[in-house]
Amino acid sequence: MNPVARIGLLIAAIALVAAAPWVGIPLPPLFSEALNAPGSLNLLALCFVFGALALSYDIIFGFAGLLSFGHALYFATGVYVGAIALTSWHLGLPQAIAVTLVISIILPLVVGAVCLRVRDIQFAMVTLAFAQAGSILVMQNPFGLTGGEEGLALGANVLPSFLTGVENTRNLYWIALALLVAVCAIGWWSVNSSPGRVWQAIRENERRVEVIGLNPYLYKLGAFVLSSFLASAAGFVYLLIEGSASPDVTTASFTLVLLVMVVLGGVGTLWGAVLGGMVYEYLDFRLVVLSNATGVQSLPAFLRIPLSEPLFILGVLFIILVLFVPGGLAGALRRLNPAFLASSGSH
Amino acid sequence: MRLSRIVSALCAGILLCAPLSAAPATAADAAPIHIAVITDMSGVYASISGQGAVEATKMAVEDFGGKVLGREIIVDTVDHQNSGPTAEAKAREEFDNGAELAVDLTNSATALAVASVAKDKHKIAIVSGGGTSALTGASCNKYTYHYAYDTYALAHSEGVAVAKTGLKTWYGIVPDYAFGKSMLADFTDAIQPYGATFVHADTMPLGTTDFSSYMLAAKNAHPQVLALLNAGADTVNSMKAAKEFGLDKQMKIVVGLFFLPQVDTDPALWAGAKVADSWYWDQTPEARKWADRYAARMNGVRPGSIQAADYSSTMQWLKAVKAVGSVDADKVVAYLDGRKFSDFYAQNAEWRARDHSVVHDMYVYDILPQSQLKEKDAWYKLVDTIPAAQAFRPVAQSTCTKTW
Amino acid sequence: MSMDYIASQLFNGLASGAFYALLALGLSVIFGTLRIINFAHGAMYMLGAFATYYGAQLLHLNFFAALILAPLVVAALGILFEVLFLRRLQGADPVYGLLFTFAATLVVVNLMRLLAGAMGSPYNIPVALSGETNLGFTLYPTYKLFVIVVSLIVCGLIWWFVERSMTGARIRAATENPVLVRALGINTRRLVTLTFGLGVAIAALAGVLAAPTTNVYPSMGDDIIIYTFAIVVIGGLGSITGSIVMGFALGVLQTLGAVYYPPIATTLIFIVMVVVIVLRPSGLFGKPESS
Repeated sequence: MNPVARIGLLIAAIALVAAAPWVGIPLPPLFSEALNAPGSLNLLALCFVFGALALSYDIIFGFAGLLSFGHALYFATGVYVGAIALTSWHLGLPQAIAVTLVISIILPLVVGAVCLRVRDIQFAMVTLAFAQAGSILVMQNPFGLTGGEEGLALGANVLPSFLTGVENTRNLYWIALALLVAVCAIGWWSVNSSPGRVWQAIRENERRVEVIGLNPYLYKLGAFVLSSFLASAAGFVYLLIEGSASPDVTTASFTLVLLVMVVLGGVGTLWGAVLGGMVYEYLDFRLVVLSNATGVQSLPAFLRIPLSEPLFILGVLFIILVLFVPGGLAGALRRLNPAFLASSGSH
Repeated sequence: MRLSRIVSALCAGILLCAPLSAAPATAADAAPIHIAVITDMSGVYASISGQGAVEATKMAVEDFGGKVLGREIIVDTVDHQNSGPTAEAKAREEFDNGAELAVDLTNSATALAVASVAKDKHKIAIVSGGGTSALTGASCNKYTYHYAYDTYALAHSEGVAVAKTGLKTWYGIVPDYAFGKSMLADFTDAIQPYGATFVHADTMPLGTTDFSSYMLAAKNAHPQVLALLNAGADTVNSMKAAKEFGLDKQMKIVVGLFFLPQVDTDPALWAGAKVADSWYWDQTPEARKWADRYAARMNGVRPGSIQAADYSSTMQWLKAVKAVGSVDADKVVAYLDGRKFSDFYAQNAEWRARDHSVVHDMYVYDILPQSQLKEKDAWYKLVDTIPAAQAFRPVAQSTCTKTW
Repeated sequence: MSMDYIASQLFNGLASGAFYALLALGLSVIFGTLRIINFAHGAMYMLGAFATYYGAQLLHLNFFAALILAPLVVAALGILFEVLFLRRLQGADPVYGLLFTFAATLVVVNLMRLLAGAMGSPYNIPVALSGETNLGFTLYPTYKLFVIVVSLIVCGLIWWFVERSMTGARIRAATENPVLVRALGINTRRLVTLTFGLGVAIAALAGVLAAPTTNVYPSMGDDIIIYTFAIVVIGGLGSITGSIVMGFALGVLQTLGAVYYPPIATTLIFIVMVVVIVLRPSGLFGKPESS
């Protein structure tokens, strides 16, 4: 297919998805109401946000080969800085966006500069340490800014009217869609650019990149900052949809779930991560409705309760995939950093 | 290869959703009314609310006749998994699909989240499980009521009952998050009129699992009272550490937040502790009768106060709906505000109009050791009754900006 | 604060450090041989504690019997897990092993939650070890002394086994150069499996020791696993000595933090970790990676 046709197809697909708020078809069992009902649009918007977030993670993990355990920190930055800017600092929406964007570049720049001094497992651990520190900071509610474990609600009159109220869910839906498209575009452009190719080279063999005369540290930092920035953007949109900030987004298990999302979908293919993110969020929601359905309620407890725990199902799903699709996994494995193997104490 | 993996994941996902029944439209008046019990079904609070809360609510619906205004009543079980965003999303979904009332809401973060959804959707939420006083303070709203207890009530029942006996030096074990800090503030206020103070109340950082060093420090300080102002696993860990260092023999141990079903998990651990609660099943013949009916449905396990509160609040709401002839939240609120009542759960109770705190008498109990247990689940011994007017925050001190 | 008080707090530090040391040791043993970061380590610790509880409930097993049996039972489960699943990920990127063990943790913890509920199962200090011992300068809980002694003995034994015994040498060699070791006629497969079992057994032992004084509930491993990782990184990945020494050291450090400035107590380990990683990436006792 020639590039023009491909782009045309892409635009048509996006237009189709954007038209959802006018499609009043009920789609059981996918949604409990019509496609254009606020509940369904809300769910889809969240799926878009998670797709974008998973993609941002694929950039550092799948392409640059950096295993970060602290990605949740940057998503949380978007959520919390946005919330604080809008409530405690009483900024208008444009200013809040600007402040969030600035901080979501500076923070990963500083943190990344420290973390990237080490590699592999130590890198993973340091990123985890920073994320834990962020999580603790949020829970301690310094100066009453973050709301501690009760979270921070945006409250009335903080957001412009076109973003609040059930009738305006479609606006949030479009904003989330726009976010996803933008993040995909940026992601696709960045991994195909020359720094993007350097990332992939670093993932394969960092020593070789040094030998060519490039400084891998700077490239890794670039990937880190871009990926974190995109995650923060997703976080901000998440804040708009949810209307409040909650400390759940700062936990280590949140990053790990992200990791599993990306791996399930396919590491190193941007669209795979997006799909993984969307499917996970969708299942997370729908499994609850499933557990309320009469068919499941009558199941004995030992079947009913696990079916309502998305994490449990995620775990089982992942185990099954690894066991029964070993060929597929190997393909992805070969593209990942073989330096891990090389550094295992041999030679 | 990867495509096949994704396809299989998708298929698994869709297959899992297949057994769903399509949700009916709710335009017609003959459609059923749903009551959403939003609770923790499988986490740390499952025994104090969980399935018991659902059963209690169902009992209320059945006792009422199963129908109101000619419409069937369906009780939905909603597991919030102790997550604010999850609770919020599910509450939205429930209210959009025929729910007129949300009850239970154990865990303060979820209670606050659902309270704001209730306000958005103009439906009623009655919180029995969560304890944050913000629900009737800074986060108060027209459509939310706080039913069973809050941190102020706990402090002003337990704290007062113990300080009254002349124990003046207190040592606080306080976790470093909103609940802990608000418990400490409330307890400090409550004991102060009796000349008692906290000689020490350092907040413990989040993630502390080993309380040994704090217990040793407490032992060293020789206070008369050790106040455990934490919740969940922290309470168990700190109690275990306290007993390990022999603190239960040296001083009185006051457990800030505690519910009857927790004793069963480790009776030896809790024997001798002092707790406050809003209700106990063996306190009156009416309470016992209700508890026996509950136990018949719950494998012989007797209810705690939150489950009783769920029954009571649901029943009150149903009666209000019948009285005003509509589920319209504004009308129900107008009916409930200012209403006084007494039932097997709450004595001298009132649905306070000013801040939507439902006040009632509170009680202080000692937890009996196994050797004094007369029958199953009979762990509490009443030592003090605190009238509603003293237990709950006086209306004059309310920080609720009433906007309705 | 008197010296007696400080000395008692130091013992508290050693007691909590004992758990860190045992868990870090198990993790190091597993990483050293399988190159897999065992995210399920916390779950193994939890299973050890629950095995003790169920052993007492169902089989009237006393604590001392549990100390031997529970680690064996959990190790058997771990070996089953390794043979059925982890083995397939040998030679692959360690990330997959990590993810797999994480998925396994989700499954195990949630299954346990179904069985035991989330609140906590009671287990109390065995009568023989309850009460306090006179240490001369203070009365100190006997059980904690028991924990310190047992973990020191176990750590010492494992250290000797890995660093000084013939089998230990074989294990270390098998990690460095499996092909050559196999050529010498040694069954590396079995060695690796048994070593994994050993690492899991140590974690389970920590769980048994924890049961009397800590709330036994399904998520109990989640809280402690992150600290364990931090300690292993500080000590040096794969370094047995590092895990043991830093485990005890950081337990003491954390307790002293709790004594002098509580707000910092839980973040202290992370601060140390960041500093060590930045200054000496391979950890305090680790061998610098040949790059």
